[in-house]
Amino acid sequence: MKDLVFGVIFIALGVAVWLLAREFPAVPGMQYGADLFPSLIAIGMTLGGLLLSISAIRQLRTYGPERSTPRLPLPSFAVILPCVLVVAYIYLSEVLGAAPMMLLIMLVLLIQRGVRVLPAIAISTVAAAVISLSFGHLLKVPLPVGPLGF
Amino acid sequence: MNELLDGILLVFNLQTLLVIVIAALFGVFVGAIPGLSATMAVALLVPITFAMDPVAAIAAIITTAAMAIFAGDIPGTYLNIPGTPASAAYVSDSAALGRMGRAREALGLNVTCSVIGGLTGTLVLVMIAPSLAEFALNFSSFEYFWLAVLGLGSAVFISTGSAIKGFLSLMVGLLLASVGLDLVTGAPRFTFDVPDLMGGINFIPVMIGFFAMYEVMKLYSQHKDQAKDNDSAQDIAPQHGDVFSLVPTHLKRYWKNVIRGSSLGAFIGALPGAGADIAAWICYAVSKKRSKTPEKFGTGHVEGLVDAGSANNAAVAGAWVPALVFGIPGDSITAIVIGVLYMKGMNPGPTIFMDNSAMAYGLFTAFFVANLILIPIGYLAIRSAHVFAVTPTRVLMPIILCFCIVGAFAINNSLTDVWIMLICGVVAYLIASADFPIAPAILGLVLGNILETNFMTSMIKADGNLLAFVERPISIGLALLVLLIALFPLLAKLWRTRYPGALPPTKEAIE
Repeated sequence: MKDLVFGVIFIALGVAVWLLAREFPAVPGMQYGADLFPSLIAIGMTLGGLLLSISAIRQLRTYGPERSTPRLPLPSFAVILPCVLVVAYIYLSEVLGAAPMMLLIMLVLLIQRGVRVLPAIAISTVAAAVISLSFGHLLKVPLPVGPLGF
Repeated sequence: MNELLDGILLVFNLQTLLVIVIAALFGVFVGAIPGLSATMAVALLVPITFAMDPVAAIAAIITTAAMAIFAGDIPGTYLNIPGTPASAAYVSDSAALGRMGRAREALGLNVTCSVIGGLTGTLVLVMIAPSLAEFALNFSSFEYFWLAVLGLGSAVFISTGSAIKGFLSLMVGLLLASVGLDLVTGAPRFTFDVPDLMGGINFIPVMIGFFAMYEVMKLYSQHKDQAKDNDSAQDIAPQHGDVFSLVPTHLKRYWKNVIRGSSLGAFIGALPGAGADIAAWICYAVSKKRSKTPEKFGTGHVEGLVDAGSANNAAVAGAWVPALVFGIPGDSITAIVIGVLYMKGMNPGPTIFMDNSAMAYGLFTAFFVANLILIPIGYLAIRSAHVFAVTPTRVLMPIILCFCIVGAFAINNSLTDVWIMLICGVVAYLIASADFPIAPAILGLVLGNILETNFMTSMIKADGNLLAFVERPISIGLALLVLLIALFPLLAKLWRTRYPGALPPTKEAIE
């Protein structure tokens, strides 16, 4: 089932790439333009997706839905959490500062995994300070500075 | 001769040696924590190497990779959980030895074999790379096109698991490579009016996303209690014996295995697309097939361990042959390294030995030092194995996520790279959950531009005549090699019948 879903996704992606590639301008006097490789990739994705779908359908027919490839698991909140926190960093680090945002991210993730509050605070504070100092000061990466000055 | 001396001096200075020691400790730590791979260690290290001299940066990567591959044996032996996929082939043997209280003996043998394997791989690199580069100077865009196809074909057909999935994963990588201004026409492609995408996708954030962000998401996809159990189950059995006392006896008995594992490992590593983990699996299977006591394999027998333990470290050095000579990565670690070499102004390819010969010799020296430092650092790691067992991944992963964010940002000081890292992490999580291998996507990203540029250049040169691609003797030879690689699934089928269990299951092939 999972393979069938991915087969269809790749077919859709292939078609979308092909549609976008059609708009790439051709250079007069040249046989092959900027669209050649993206179009080949689109064809590859569509054909590959098609083959994957066919093989998944065959498996479904032979073994039935129970014994074919498993279903695509629905994403849980826990797996989305790190992604949400990265997005939060992107939007809020300029406002709050890189170090407080990192501290917040680590704190949330540690507590979510069952680490007790006090050790979680200690670990996140030390780790945020180390990362912030090593990248911001030693490697001179211009990490965003918040109202607290770090 | 002067260049050789200059190269050696580039490594034997306080700064570079200090970097090597720190990188070794970092590599041991990451490699020994189950779930964190050598590739992930290197991907996380790259943003830090930006502030270093080229040789120090490359030495740090070489040392980290060599250390992490060995350190993967530590949790494998003590806890029956391979630290890196390259240790998975012989984990049943090393874990059985650990249960018998012989973990130190097994790891002492492992570290020695890793050093021998690593040094053999380095010797192969030193001997083959310069002469191969001289030969490669005759290559034109036609040959480079075929080499790129060879690399991509290997990524799909040599990697284990479904070839269709490998192919689709490759397409994802090629699609990522086509983002940015077209090299020939200058037209923007898939940039969606984002100025940061005009220069193309920087592949370090992609690597961080594919290898580190993906691991973080994988941990959080596990049920909380299951993850907790995995952490708390790490209990080391009491051990006795010295680390190195029985090594001479074992080496005397299995010296042929060491030579075979090292040479075969270096050769497999040099194949584009086949990395240390595939080398370990193949050498373990060959060892079992050739052994007088195959029935003992998997029960705590050191023979397979000697073969595969030498092979995985030899493969790390072997993978540098195509990376240095042709700019074609041998595995995902060298794929990252190629990016670093470009950023440091050392363009991988045959001319590296002429334009940057001191640097190339420095790199060879770094390989020798990285492998020799394995002995003292490896010894310390074996003696303090408890540290790795008590470090829970649920504590490490949030810290790694912050490293990912800051590391991706540090490449161009741009939040667009953090977005790229996030999107790639999600894509890697989704495709890996459906058993798609990730390595072909990486090779697609690295080789996409080489493939397209050389194809377009060749087409302009040949005025659109496709036959020109098979007119030169070397290009036709390479084209035939591509054909052979395409027939690899058939050969692999024959191989599996002869050596059952020679190739890893799909999950291990992800790295």
